[in-house]
Amino acid sequence: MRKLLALSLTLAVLIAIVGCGDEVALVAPGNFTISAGVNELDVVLDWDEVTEEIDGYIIYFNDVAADTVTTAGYTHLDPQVSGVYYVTAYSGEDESDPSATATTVPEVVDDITVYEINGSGSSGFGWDRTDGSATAYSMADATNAAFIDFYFSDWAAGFAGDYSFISPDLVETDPGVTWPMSGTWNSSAFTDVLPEQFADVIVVPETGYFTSMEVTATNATYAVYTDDGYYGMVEVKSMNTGDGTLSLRVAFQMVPGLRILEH
Amino acid sequence: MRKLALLLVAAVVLTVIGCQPPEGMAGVTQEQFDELKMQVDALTTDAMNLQTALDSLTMLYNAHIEKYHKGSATATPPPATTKPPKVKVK
Repeated sequence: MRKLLALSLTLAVLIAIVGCGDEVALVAPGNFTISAGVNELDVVLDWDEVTEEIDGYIIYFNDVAADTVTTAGYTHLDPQVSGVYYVTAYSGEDESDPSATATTVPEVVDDITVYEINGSGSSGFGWDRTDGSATAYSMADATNAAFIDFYFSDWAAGFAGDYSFISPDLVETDPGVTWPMSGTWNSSAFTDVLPEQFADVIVVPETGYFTSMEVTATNATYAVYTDDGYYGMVEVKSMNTGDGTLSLRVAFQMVPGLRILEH
Repeated sequence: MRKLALLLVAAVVLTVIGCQPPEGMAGVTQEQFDELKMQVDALTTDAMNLQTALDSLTMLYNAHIEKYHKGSATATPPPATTKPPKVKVK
């Protein structure tokens, strides 16, 4: 009898403990992505609807709750500032873990040197689409063609002339190229010098992009548009006609079609 | 003595023949050359004058279009060969 009483007591305590435990946590929203709106200024957030009963989702921008929605999907209208996004699901006071994060912060690379196409170093320049890193590539090696977003040249033999940023697909007609050249080159386009300094650029222009652009001054910033729809910008920090080099600072927006270059 | 005279005549004949210009390549006199040079110079000057007149005409035409036909397309001078083709993409 005493044994039965002890067993019942233990069972009751156990049930009480389990009953008072936390509720099952909400599942974080999956497949979180961002993309550019049709005006190239809005940021469109998308994710999978969670299957549990929830009240909605909280949108976070730079770790601050910016808005709530009841169904999956949100558009951050013309934020004019870059940042990191994620969402959570919530039900009453309960909130899920954050979704994966996505960023519109451009990748900035300082002090990259490129040579005029007749100079003694790499003349091609390309951005990595996944991490925004910048690399100088040799234009003499056509196997680099897929990675090159632009090159610079004085459009003549030698390297002491007037410099221009040039779309890679024009290289085969560059009078400065004296070696056999063939490849599947990308095309890109450039604006004239932007009115703002590199650090002050918020968004780059929608139009006014040309297949080549004269490099006329230092501390001048140009916007770049690639044929796969990405935007970047290039600041000419210094120019040396003695050895045909440009020192560049660059920024790249990894969200295709988004013109926000604020950083 | 007779043989010597014959040899002398032969030498003179060979020298005269050797000095003749090849067939179809008769030399040009200095006068003819100078005249040709003057003609080339005149042609060069004419071409330069023509280019200047064309530039002036293009400028006047553009000014006219700008003044009286705003919004219409203006004639653009041909691009310089030393610059890459600059095409507006967007």
